[in-house]
Amino acid sequence: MLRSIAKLLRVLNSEAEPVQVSLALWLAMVSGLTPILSPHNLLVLLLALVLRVNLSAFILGLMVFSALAYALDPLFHLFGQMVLTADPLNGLFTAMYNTTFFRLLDFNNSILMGSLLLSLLAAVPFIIVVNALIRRYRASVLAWVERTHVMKVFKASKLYRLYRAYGEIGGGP
Amino acid sequence: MRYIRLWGLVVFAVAVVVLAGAWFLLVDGAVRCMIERTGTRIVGARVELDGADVRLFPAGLTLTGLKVTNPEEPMRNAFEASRISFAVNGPDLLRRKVIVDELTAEGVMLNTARKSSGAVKRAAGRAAPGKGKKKALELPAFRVPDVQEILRTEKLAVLDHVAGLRNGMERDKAEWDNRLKALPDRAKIDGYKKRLEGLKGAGGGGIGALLGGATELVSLQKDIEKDLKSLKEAGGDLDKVIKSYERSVKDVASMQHKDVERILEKYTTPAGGLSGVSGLFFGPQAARWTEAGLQWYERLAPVVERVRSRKKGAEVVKPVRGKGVYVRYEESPPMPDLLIKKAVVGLKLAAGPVNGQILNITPDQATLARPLSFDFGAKGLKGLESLSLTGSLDHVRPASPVDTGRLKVAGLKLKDFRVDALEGAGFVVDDALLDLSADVTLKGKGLAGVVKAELGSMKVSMAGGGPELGGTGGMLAGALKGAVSGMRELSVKAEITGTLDDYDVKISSDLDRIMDSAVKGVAKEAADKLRGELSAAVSGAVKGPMAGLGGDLEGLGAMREQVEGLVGEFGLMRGDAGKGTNGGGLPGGIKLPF
Repeated sequence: MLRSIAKLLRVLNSEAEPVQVSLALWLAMVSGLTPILSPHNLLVLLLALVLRVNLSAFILGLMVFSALAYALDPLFHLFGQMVLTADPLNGLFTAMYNTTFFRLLDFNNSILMGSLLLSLLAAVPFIIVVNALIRRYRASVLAWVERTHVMKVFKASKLYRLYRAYGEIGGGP
Repeated sequence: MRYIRLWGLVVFAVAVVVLAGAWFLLVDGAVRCMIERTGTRIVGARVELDGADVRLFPAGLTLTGLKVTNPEEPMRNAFEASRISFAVNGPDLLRRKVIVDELTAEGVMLNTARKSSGAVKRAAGRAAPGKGKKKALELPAFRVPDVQEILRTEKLAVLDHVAGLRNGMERDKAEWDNRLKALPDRAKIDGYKKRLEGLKGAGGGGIGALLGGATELVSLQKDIEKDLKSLKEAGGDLDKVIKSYERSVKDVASMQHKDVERILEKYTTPAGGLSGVSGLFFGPQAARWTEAGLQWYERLAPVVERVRSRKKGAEVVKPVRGKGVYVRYEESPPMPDLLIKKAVVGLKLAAGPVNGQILNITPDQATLARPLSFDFGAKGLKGLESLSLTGSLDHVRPASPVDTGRLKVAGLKLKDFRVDALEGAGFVVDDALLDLSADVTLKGKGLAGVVKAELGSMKVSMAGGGPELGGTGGMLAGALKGAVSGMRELSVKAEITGTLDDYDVKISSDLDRIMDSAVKGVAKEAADKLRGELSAAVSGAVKGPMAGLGGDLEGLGAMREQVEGLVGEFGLMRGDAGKGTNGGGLPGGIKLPF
């Protein structure tokens, strides 16, 4: 059992480069902030699994952003409704509305449009900022965390030893 | 493959398969829960479904054992259906359009019993129809007092009349007493006789004596004539007076009769009358049915019209539930999100099967440009000759909706149908044949409807007690009971006017006429009974004064006889004086040659 868990943790924590982690967090943001059962989240899931991004960051980020979505929904609704009712975009949206593919995507829902658009617009700055934060964390905070009593106890556990063993086999950190 | 995890594809594929598998396993239950939850919220009472079967090829849904609780009677279902099945157009479904060509509902039954209560917490909305505030029928005050009590309190005009006559007669008697004294009497006749005798004895006195005798005779004749004339005049006047009094005495009988009738009318007419009986008997039930109908109409309103608003030219539609709003754009071709083109319904009534169809069920009638219409009918059912229900809910123009409904029922056998109106009482139609027609129109908020019911071959019995009436021992209530129980036919008409929130139901029926006749019958019976007693009592009251009156009249009559006697005697006297002293010749026996 512990071996399976260790193996799973190793898989999840592979691809630990900052850009891989920040990309995973961004994908989690897209999926977490938009309504979870929307069709586009299948694509997000596919990207998260196929691209070499950090899966544990994706799972953790998904939980965090899903919780944040409840508070941010009114903002998404206002933004989405504003975009959907903008006169210059009426023609585009009318064409999309009469297309089966886009109707399946439910693009004309105010919360979905607002959350998805904001997530996409925030992609580049988000990834850059998170990337920088991860590097700073690893440079300063991580060393302190490694010295804490909790970390020492964890590192002494069998689970961690198995985790390290699988990491060495897989060539990871 | 620096940036790609190939095994990720496999995981994704497995995840999709697992999700699809979960969907296949759970979708039926999820649909069932969604229908129950949504239905319960719309109806305001528990909606239950035994099972839901979602099909993909072709896309469709089958529901079994649908039960919709009646919110007003949680232990009964408003309706239940054993099976509802429909297929959905696949391509339209991908565009999030649920377009159903034909929906079939089988085994639909109304008002069935439930095993457990289907009540849920009532959402704010139209207040539940009251159980029908039973206003008691206020029977008019009707108490016939004792005859002696009546005579003590009532003023009899006949007595005043008799008293007036007596006073008049006494006054006239006194006057005539005086007048008679001034009239010539027997003493004068005796005087005239003496004068005539004197004239007869003066025959041998010569010419002078003869001439003086003739003059005296003429004077005597003139005196007699004058007295006779005054007596005749007095007699005529007295006769007139007596005849006048005799006529007045005859009037006493008619005045006595008038007094009796006046008193009878006063004491045997129920005070306040009996009005609005139809409303009291049928009003509560009619109000309950109307209110229940309007409640169901309001519950089902979202089915025919979606709440919508416009922002900057685009139509914004708030979904029935869920977050955010959906912005709708111009469609080509325009299509409602939900449309059931035709629903074929098989109703199972106690009388037999009733089939019908509902066309164009959609909350987007403005998009479809066709109203919802329904048509149900049946003939030759058990205990029901024919039934027809048609109508339409036209919300194509949401600003001016027009909803109509027409119901025609012919030859419905009613058994033990209770009509409760009176406090603790009512009547039961044990047996009857009912023909009913109802026509209701709702234009905007304005409500107008006419319901006519004709009952024939009726057998009716009163249920429970009736209001007791002091003094009459329930006479009026008994008459009403008899009238109601004797009904063989009855027509009832209800007119509904006003608005959805403030409507008025005006009811009229033969019951008003029947009750009125019963009340009048009771009044007549009481009057007939009282008439004899009252007439006798009034006669008794008048008897004494009348006796005095008779005596006074007799007195005047005696005076008239006296005068007539004198007239007779004076007439004889005149005759004697006219013959002269020797049987018609001159005094002294002188006869003229001519």
